[in-house]
Amino acid sequence: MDLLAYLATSSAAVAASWARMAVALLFSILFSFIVGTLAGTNRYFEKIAIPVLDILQSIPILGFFPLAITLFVALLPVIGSELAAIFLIFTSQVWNITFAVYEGTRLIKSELLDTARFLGISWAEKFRYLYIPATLPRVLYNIQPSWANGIFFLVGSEILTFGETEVELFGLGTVVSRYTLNGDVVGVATTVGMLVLATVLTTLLVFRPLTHVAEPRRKDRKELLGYTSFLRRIFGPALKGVHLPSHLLFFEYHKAVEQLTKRVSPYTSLMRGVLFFLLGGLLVSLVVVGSEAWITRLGVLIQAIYYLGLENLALSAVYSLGRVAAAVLFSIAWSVPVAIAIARKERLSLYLTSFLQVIASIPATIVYPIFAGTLSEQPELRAFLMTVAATQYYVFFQVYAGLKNIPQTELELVELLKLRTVDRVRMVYLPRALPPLVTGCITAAGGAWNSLIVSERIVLGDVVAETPNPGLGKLLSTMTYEGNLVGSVIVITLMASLIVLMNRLFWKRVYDLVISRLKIQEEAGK
Amino acid sequence: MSEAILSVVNVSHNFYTKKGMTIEVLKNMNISLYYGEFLGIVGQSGSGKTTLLKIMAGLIKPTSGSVFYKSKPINGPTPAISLVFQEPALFPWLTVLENVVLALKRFKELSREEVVERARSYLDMVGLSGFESVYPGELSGGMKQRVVLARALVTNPDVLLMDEPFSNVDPLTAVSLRREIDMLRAHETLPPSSVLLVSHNVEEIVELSDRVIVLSGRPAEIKGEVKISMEKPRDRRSPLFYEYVDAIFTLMS
Ligand SMILES: Nc1ncnc2c1ncn2[C@@H]1O[C@H](COP(=O)(O)OP(=O)(O)O)[C@@H](O)[C@H]1O
Ligand SMILES: [Mg+2]
Repeated sequence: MDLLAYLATSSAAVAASWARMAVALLFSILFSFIVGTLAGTNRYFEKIAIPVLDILQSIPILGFFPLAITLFVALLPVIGSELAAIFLIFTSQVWNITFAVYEGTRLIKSELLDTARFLGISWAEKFRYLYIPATLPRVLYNIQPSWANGIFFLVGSEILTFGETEVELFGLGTVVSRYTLNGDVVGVATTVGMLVLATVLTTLLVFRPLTHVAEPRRKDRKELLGYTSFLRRIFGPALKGVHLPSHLLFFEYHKAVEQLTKRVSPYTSLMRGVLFFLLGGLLVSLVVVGSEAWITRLGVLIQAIYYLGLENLALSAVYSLGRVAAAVLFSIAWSVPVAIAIARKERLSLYLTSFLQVIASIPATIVYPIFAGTLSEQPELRAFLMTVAATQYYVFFQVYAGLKNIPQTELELVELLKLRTVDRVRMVYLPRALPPLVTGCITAAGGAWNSLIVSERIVLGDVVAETPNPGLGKLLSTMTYEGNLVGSVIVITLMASLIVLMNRLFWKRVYDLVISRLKIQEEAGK
Repeated sequence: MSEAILSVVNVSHNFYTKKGMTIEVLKNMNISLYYGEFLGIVGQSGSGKTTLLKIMAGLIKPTSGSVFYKSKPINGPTPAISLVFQEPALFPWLTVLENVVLALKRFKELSREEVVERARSYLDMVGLSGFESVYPGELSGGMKQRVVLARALVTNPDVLLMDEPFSNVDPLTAVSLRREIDMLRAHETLPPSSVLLVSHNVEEIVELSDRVIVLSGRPAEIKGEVKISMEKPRDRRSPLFYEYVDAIFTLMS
């Protein structure tokens, strides 16, 4: 094949994938505006919707796989697979946007709500003049992370395999997989290059302008003094995009959950969450078993658990936890020193972060097929590398942004007081780096869990690259390829429960500890 | 005695906290606002003035009792009664003009041009012509309150309710705002017919009102009433002014 053909194929693939993601994104925004606004304004709906959303967003996205395929393909045989792919991408994009709308709606001043009611404007006008503009900046800010998330799962979403059903949709994911299978290095390189190019262009031409759309309307939060507004007008363009709080993303979610947990004691909410999961999982499994009597369905379920083996499930969970922990620890180990080393060196940090940003924009999943053929004698190392590829940047960029956001005044003060390096680190760097480090770790752990489904067992044509030791991801993948719907629901229920437990019992505590120790709730929360 | 345009009859109101406690805010209120009157209600912060105004505007349903507008019970916000909030509640993402236009959305029979025309003329009246396409964030507190006033008046209300409209404005601006409200009131053909001003600031109440109702704190009950017969504009340094202020302070404490 000549280069032109490569270019044509890869740009067509990018176009197809981009179209799918755009449709999914539109649905995500629509869904978020409806559900987020309702949850933010209706107390009864809030009580049901937020726990459900909390749980849905902690289910590793690829876990929706078996259900989505079965459902969509069965319902609509012709366009079903395309819809299933869009649905899967949707599940990877939607939750943070929904939480952003919810949070934004709740923060609308009560005077404005009263005014809207008072002026007697209609429901549709309320949406147009109140809810949408009030939440738009947050939504726009969340679009880019959502898009990145979507790319990450693109590969998985375009190759739909479930038992007998196997559909390949033309797009980035399939094209890369095929090139890899054929050992076509040029093909892989062109496609990945095209992906990076498309990402850079989309960022510059769509996301950057989008975040600016909301800006002139935002500055009115606090009244600007004449002088400040003058400075803004002159330096505005240069300042834009700099002050965005990098840990905002997690906060949307964190605040939303916190809001809820404030109302119920932590343990009841935790118990409810886990119970909800187990019951939900049970119910879904019972429905998908699909034989006549409910009693026999229960029997099938027990049989499926028996088939999987309790011991096997437990062991898989332990191994998977270990792999997640290893990936997160490794990411911390290199990210923190590098971030501290470069954060104050303007030029170096510019080059390095630009470079890393490009690398990070290549979703780990797209290079997974390349991993499949390599390192076959070191399968654990291969899985580790794949997991790290999906994990590390979250940590690095969070810590880096945290250090970058140290206010100039604090740095000047440190200079003025001629503090020793130890004190500098303790007084300024650590308080600024720790909260983002924790939020980075939480996001990274989520990413790691997601990637386990592929990195523990990757199937590419006839090649199966899996870890010798058990793992939940491997188990889920096996169930999926066997077409064992009940089995996969059981595994995904277990996996999601583990993630929720980790979030509530471990990460939230670590986070609260860091915040309370450093007494920086105020700034961090903003 | 002339007839009441708005009357509060036996209104009591409680709030219930999340812990199940009951806060009695208003207790057995009876207030009449007469045609053409400027009524002042004075009470300490937290005594329930805002709650009372919201009830009169139909935003809150009282725990017991009712409010009548021209002898008909009020069940929700109506364009005949306008409310100016304590905080200048403007939509920050809409321009000054759009904010005022919003109040006219409920009049479906008006054309787009008529709506804009009317909004412009009211902005002009409060001294904001030329600021139509500015966003509220770029305005000072006093200018914001003027936009709110234009928005409250643009629907031609019979009754204007004002909740401490000068408390977020610097003292000098407050002086000119008070003067303007007084002038608007003196205008024969312009609505509103009656104004109710609520404040914890005794001087500003005495400066503007024809009659003053004094509230006690927690739960708010009516302590007494003072009629003010002084020519406008009133001189804050005159001995008569001080007599009124003293009389009200005595009732409050
Ligand atoms: N929505 C509410 N829920 C519970 N308590 C409230 C609410 N609104 C006001 N209150 C309480 O009612 C009392 C009166 O409030 P408000 O009417 O705002 O007083 P004022 O306007 O005179 O300062 C205050 O003690 C306040 O805490
Ligand atoms: Mg008040």
